[in-house]
Amino acid sequence: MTYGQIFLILLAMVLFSTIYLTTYNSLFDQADLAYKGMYLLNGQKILDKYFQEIEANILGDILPFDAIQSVYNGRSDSLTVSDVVYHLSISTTPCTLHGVDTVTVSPEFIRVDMSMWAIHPGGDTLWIGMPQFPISKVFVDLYY
Amino acid sequence: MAAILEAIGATIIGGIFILTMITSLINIHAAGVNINQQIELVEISEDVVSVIESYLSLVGAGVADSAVISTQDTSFTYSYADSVGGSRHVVNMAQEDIADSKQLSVYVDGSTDPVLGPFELSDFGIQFTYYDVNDTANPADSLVRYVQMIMEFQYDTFREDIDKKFVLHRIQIWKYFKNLYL
Repeated sequence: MTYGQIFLILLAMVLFSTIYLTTYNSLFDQADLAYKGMYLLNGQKILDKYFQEIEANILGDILPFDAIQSVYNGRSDSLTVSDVVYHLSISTTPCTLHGVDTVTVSPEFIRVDMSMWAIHPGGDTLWIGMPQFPISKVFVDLYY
Repeated sequence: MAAILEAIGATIIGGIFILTMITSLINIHAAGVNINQQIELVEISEDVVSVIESYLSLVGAGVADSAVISTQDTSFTYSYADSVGGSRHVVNMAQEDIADSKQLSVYVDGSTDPVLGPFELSDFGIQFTYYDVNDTANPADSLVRYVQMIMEFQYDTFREDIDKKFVLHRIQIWKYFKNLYL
């Protein structure tokens, strides 16, 4: 076997290895996307839990409507789901029917903004609603 | 003689090369199938959870008392009515052991045929935790106001060899029983 033939074999191995590495890399990217989707869905469910809590408190008249501001504005929480810690921030703002900010002492509507982040096991930070672009819901005072 | 040795050497190297290619292709196929199954499992289990949530929304609807009938770690029984004072229905969500595997089923009015399920769960199965209005866990049935439900769905994997790992999707939801707040 000549040096030329050995070189060609090594070259072929290197070329094929590159194809395999690229294919594996693409597959792991797909897997990463699938897992990130799962973590995002979990995060949405946590946000939904807090929205439900506020809604139940209003329905049951457990908290006076105005107290939503003092109880939830600036609130932070951490929750662990499937070994991933989700960090939640809540802010509240008096608003109009359409969610536009107002300055009212005793508002009829309050907008609740939530944002959440978590460290994905791969090391990336996942955001579910961001401070600049939160996930929001407008609540009405049923007993206004 | 040298030519024969060269031919044997080339055959061995080529053989190793082909074996490596085939093994890699099988591994790539297995990884691809598992990813596809994971995505399908997420889709299916999210749909299942949506339906479960719609059933949980009924807790206490139209009934004045005994809305929550039984609260256990792996089973939840409650009632609702078609209308206020209307005919009452009893729903049971339960984890069952069928053929050595845990399954999730939803039954209505004592029927033996589930209206939802059975859905295959992992060894973790289901875990219900009940809370009262003050977020205290496991209160008396009459004081339950919301539930935390953790369930882990399972899908078979491509590989059946010693490194067998099931495709899993764990979902954690909270459901506030708004009818009980009214």
